[in-house]
Amino acid sequence: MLFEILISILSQLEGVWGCMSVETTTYLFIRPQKTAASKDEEKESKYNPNKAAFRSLFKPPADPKEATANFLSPPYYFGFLSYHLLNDLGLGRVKADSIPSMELNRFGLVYAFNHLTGEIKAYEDYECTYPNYENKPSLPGLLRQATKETPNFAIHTFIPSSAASQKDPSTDPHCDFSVNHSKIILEPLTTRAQYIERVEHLQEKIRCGDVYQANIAATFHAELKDPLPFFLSRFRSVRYAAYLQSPDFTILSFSPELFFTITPKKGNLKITGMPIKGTARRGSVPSEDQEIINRLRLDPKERAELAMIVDLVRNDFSQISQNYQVSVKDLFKVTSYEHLHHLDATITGILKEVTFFEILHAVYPAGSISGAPKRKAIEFIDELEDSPRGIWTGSIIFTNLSNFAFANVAIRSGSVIDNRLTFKSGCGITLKSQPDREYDELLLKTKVWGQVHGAEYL
Amino acid sequence: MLIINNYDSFTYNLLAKLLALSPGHHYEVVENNRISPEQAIERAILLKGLIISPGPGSPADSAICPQVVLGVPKDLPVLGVCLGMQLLGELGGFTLRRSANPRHGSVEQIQRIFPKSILFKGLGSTFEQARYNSLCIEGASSEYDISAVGTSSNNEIMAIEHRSEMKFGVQFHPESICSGRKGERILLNFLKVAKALR
Repeated sequence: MLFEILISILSQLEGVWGCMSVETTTYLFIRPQKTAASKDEEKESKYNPNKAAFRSLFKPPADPKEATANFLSPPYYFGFLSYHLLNDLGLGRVKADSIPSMELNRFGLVYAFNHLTGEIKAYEDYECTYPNYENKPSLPGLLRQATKETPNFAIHTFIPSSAASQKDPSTDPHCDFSVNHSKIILEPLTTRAQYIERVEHLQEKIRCGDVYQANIAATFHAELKDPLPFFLSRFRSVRYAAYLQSPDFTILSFSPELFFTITPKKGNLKITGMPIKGTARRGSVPSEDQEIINRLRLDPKERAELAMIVDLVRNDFSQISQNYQVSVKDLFKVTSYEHLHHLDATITGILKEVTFFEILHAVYPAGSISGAPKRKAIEFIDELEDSPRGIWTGSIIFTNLSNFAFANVAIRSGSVIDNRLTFKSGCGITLKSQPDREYDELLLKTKVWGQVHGAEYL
Repeated sequence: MLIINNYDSFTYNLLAKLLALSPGHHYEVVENNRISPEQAIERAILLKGLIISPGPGSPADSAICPQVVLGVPKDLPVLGVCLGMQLLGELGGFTLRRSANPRHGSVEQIQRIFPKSILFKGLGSTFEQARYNSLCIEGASSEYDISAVGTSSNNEIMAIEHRSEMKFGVQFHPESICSGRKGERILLNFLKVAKALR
């Protein structure tokens, strides 16, 4: 029911804003500090885009008790990392598109919609100035329950009244998001033959021992005039969905995959990652679905793909964890999504005191969408894919750059510039991959977007 | 011990396992092209051991590693993992070729073919370990000072030990999540013989 309230607010927003789901909570970011950078700042940012953020130190909050209860303390940054940020991190050299390598916008107000408890919290940062403040949404029919205030920020808690929760969005003039409105046709820019050739080329590299696994993608385009209704019609069931409205472009993410979270734990910061690898379609009836799940869990090819990425994420997290120690749980767990099933695992570590740069340098880009060994995989991906990845397989991130972060792996994600949506879809390629089947799998992964043009002939 | 990192994505897993097995022992990780061979030899002697990490490609891609392995004293403990073992093998007279059964991220039944193997002390005659390799080494073991002590199910060499020097190599990945306690035991056996345990 909170979705209706959320959607009615989203439909009223203008200027720069964003939202991101993290499992059962959706965060809404409004009141950006600046709606447009000044000329000087723009120039500065071009040469030195991420320096200040990179230097930010992640360390546990001074008061662990306070921190665990309400760790979402300002400043609130929400934005994205493009795949080509790896160039800035000194991890390789790959093609870049016109989207910045990293953009973190500071927001003065964050709403957290907890879909499990039905509670809404508003986090207000008094120190964030928003001179061009336009997007002032109303919270219709809400009761302000309690406000917890410090000199710097406030947390307001709301429980929606029954009137608000029963509000029918279809009668709200602000909520124009009918499904018809949001149907799009996807144009594949990479043919099956081209893709198969790339996969076979990579497999020869694997046979030579140059790389063990790499994620190779195909590109898609679509005409998309109204990204917001399109997003609203399909983000609900997506665990790490996100949307960012910038002046020059829109970013949409329907990601099922967590890159990492950083949260306070017993006087420390804990980093958690949940890599996904291994894919199977959903069955049409429950018995068939269960059979597919069982097969996926035992499939040696899919298990090997995940094992490799789990080893890689252990390696990445080790570098920034205390005593290099990390732990793995739920290895080879099957998680089911609307259109498919995936295998996954959970990896955790207790962070050392590290800067944002050190974190990204150790973990970026995610292993599940690059490959192993990562450095070589990145080289081959750039050689084989003919266009830049842009935001795709980068990350959408919400963080205060000091003691919490939520970052997704920006798969099933793309950007819209001048009414044109661009995204990719890819598969982890190993020696056991059948090139033809991998193309089928990446088509399956485009289902969240819409119908691929001429799919039956591809 | 000095760990030379061949730009692999598993090197820190190896470090993490070694640290967990020998708390307080000092390890240093250095990339294979960020230090001169002379400096690396000096560090390895000072740190009382050398580990050559896994990595992509073949031993020819391991930058300073061949010079370091040839330059360290005969009694210095050396462990080569995957690419590291291939390097020790090549320098010991074995030849490199493509594996007939390349595997990445899946387990292999390792056959212990030399009962007195130091690395496999306390393990059975067969046990599972995770493999990530497309290449392997081959050679008639009796001709060389280094001999095979473990093989795969199709008789490719999976582990080597030197007869008189402290040189050891494993083709599989004892640090992998899929190698479990047996992988740890193999690393522990190396640390014991290298006197890295308190």
